[in-house]
Amino acid sequence: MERTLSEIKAGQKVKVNSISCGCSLNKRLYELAIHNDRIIEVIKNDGKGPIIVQVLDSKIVLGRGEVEKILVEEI
Amino acid sequence: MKKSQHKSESHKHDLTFALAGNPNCGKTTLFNGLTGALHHVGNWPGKTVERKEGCFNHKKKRIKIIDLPGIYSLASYSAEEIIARDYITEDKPDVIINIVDSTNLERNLYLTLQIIETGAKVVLALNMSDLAKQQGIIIDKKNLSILLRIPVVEINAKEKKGFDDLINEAKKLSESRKVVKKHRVDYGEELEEHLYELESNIKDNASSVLEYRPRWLALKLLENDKDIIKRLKDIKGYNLVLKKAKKIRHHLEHVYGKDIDYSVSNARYGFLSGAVKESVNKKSVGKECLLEKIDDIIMHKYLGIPIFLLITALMFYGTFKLGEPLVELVVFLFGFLSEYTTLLLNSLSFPDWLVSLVTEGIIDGVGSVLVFLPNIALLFFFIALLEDSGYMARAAFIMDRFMHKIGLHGKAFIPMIMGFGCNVPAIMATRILKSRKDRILSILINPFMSCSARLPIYILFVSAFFSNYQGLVIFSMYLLGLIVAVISGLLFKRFFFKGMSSPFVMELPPYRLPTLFGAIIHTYERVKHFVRKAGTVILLFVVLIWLLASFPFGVEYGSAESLIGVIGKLIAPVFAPLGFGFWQAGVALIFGIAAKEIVISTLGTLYSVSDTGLVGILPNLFTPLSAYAFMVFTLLYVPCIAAVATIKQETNWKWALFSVCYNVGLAWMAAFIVYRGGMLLGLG
Repeated sequence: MERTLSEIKAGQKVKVNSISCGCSLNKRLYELAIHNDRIIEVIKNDGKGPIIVQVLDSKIVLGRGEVEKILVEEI
Repeated sequence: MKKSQHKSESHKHDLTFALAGNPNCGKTTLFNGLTGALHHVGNWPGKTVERKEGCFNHKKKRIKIIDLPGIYSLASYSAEEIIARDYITEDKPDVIINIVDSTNLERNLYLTLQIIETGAKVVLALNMSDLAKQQGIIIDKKNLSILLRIPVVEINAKEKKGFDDLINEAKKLSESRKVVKKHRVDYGEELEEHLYELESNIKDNASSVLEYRPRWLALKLLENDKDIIKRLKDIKGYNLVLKKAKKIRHHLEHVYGKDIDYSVSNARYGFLSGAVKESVNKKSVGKECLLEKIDDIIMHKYLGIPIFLLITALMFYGTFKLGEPLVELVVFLFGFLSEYTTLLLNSLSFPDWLVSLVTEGIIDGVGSVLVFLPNIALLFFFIALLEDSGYMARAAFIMDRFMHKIGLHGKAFIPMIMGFGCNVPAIMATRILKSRKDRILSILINPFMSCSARLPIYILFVSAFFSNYQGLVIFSMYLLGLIVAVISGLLFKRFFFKGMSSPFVMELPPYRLPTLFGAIIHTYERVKHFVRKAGTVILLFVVLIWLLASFPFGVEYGSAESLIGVIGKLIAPVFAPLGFGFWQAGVALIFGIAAKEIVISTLGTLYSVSDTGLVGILPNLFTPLSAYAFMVFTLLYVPCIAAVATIKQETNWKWALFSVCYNVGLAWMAAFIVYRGGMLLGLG
C-alpha cells in the first residue's frame, strides 16, 4: 500500500516509490541515495518535526515538509 | 573564462593537492594532520565560504594543500559545491585527494565518481579503515582500485596513519604522464547517445575556449546545471550548444517522460552498488553499538529538549563565566598599560593630545578588540567539541520543530542564546548554519538579544527610577529584545528571503570522540580571523571617536565644545520626541556605539559625577517614562561597533549597513511609542 514517508513508524523498512520535492531538492535526495526503488528504514518518527531514515550506511534527517512529498511502499 | 585568483601567501610550492570529500568524513582532521597548525584561513573570493590552505614538506618537495568545502556532489546545489567544482575544473590542482569514510563507502563514492568524471587525477583515501574493520567491513582496496581505475590508499586521519603512502601515491600520480583511461559511468543507451551528440556538438562549436572536458560539460548541460548554463551564455559559440542541450532535455523529459537527474544518479548508484559488492565484504557484527542507544535518550521526544537546554546553559556558563576572569585581566592590563604610558609620556613632556591619542585612542582601542577574545575562544572551543562529537546535528534535529515556526533553522537557537552573553561571538557562531540565507537571518536578529554590556545601563536606570520593580523592568528589556528578534526574523524572511524556505535535509553523523588538537586549531582560527577582520574596524572606530571627542585640540575631552559635543547638540532634537533631547544623551549614545557600557561612564564624565553619583542626578534629567524610553533605545539601537564589524566580517558591508539603519530606525520608533504612548496613558 502506498503511503507518504511521513506516516511510517520507526523501525519499518519501506521502498521509495516517488519523490516530488521540486527539481533541486529531488536531485539532492537522489545524490544522498534516496530515490525510487531504494529501500530505506525509518529510524525515528515522533509524528511531528523532522524524521530520520537509514539509507545505505548513513542516517539522514528529513524535514516534515519533505517527507510528506515522498511516497513509499511497505515491504 | 574566469580563473579564480588565489595568490598564495605561503612560500613557493612544487605541487598542489586539493582535499575533497563529504562532510564528516574526516577531511579537516586529515588537513590538520598534514599541515599541522601552519595554515592559512581565508574566504573563497567573493564568497563567505571558508578557504583553508597549508604547506608541508615531503621528501624535498614542498606541497600545498587546499581544503575544499565538504560536499556530497559536484552539482550546483550550494555555494560550497560550486566552489569545489570550479577549483577542480578550472584551477586544476595536480592531484585531488578524495577522502572517504570507509564505514559509509557507497554513498561517499558518489562524489568520487563525479570527481573522476571531471578528468582530474584522483587518489582515493579510505579513512577510518580501523573503524570499518571493527564493524566487520573488509575493503579489498586492490579490487576497488581496479574498478575505479584510481589509486586507493588506506589511512587513519586521527592517528596520522598512512599519510606517507597517501602522499607518495599522490606524487607518483602527479608525475605520471601516462594517460590512464578513466572509469566511465555508463548512463544507459538513450542518455549515452544524447551525451555523445552533445559532446560532438561542443567540440564542433566551441572547442578551444574552455578548460572543461566536453563529456563532462555535456553531462552538466543535460542535468540542466543552472550555474554552468549561466556561464556559457556569453561565450561565443555556445549559443548553439545551449540550444541543442535544451532541445535534447525537452525531448527526454517531455517526449519520453524521463527524469534526467534520476537517470544520472541511478546509473551512478547502479555502478557503485556493484563495485561495493565486489570489493567490500561486510560481516554482520550483529549487536547494536552502545552509541546508537545514546540517541534514544538524546533525541528522545520529551528528554531531548531539556538535555539540549542543559548543554546550552553549560556552554553559556562556560563561555561567559569562565571567560570573566580573563576579560577582567585584559581590562586590568590595558588600564595599567594606559596609566603607565600616560605617566611615561608626560614625563617625557609629550604634548597632551599625543598622550591622549596613544592612551585613550590606540591603547584603549586595542584593548577593546582583545577584550572579546576570551569569550570568542571559549565559545568556539565548545562549539568545536559539539560539532566534532556529532551532537550539533542532533541539536538541529531536536530544535527544528520550534525554530521552524519562527522561520529559523534548528541550530540557530545556539547563536541566539549566546547573544545574551555577547553578540560578537554569537554572530560568529552562526557559522554552524550551512545555508547563507539562514546565516544572514540569524545574524540580523542577533543584536536584539540583549548582551551583557547592556545590563549595567539597565541596572543604573532601574536603581534610579524603578527601585521597586527592578527585576521586572530588567526582565522586560530582555523579553522585548526577544520579541523584536522574532518579529524581525519573520519580517526579513517575508521580504528578503521570500519563498526560499530552505528544505531540511541533513546527514546525522555518527558519534565520534572529538580531539583536543582539532578543537584548539578551530578555536585559534576563529580568534585570528576576528582580530584580523573585525579588529581593524574596531580600532579605527575607537580612534575616530577619540578624534571627535578631542577635536579641536585643547577642549576638554568629550565636552560641549568638542566635535562630538557639537554633533550631540545637532542630533539632540532627534531625541526630543523620545523624552531625552539634551545633548549629553546624544553624546553618550554616540560613545555607546564603541561599546554599550560606555553610555554610563560618558554620562558620568559629562555631569562630573561618579557612576554611583549618577543615580542621584538622573532623576533631574529623565522622568521614569523617558528613562524607560532611553533603556528601550539603548537595547535596540546600533549594536556596538564590534558587532557591526563582525556582521561585516561574516556577511558584507551592505548587510552591516542595513543592520545599523534598521536597528536605529526601530529603536527610535520603539522609544517613541513607549514615550508618547506612555504620555497618552498619563504615565508621564
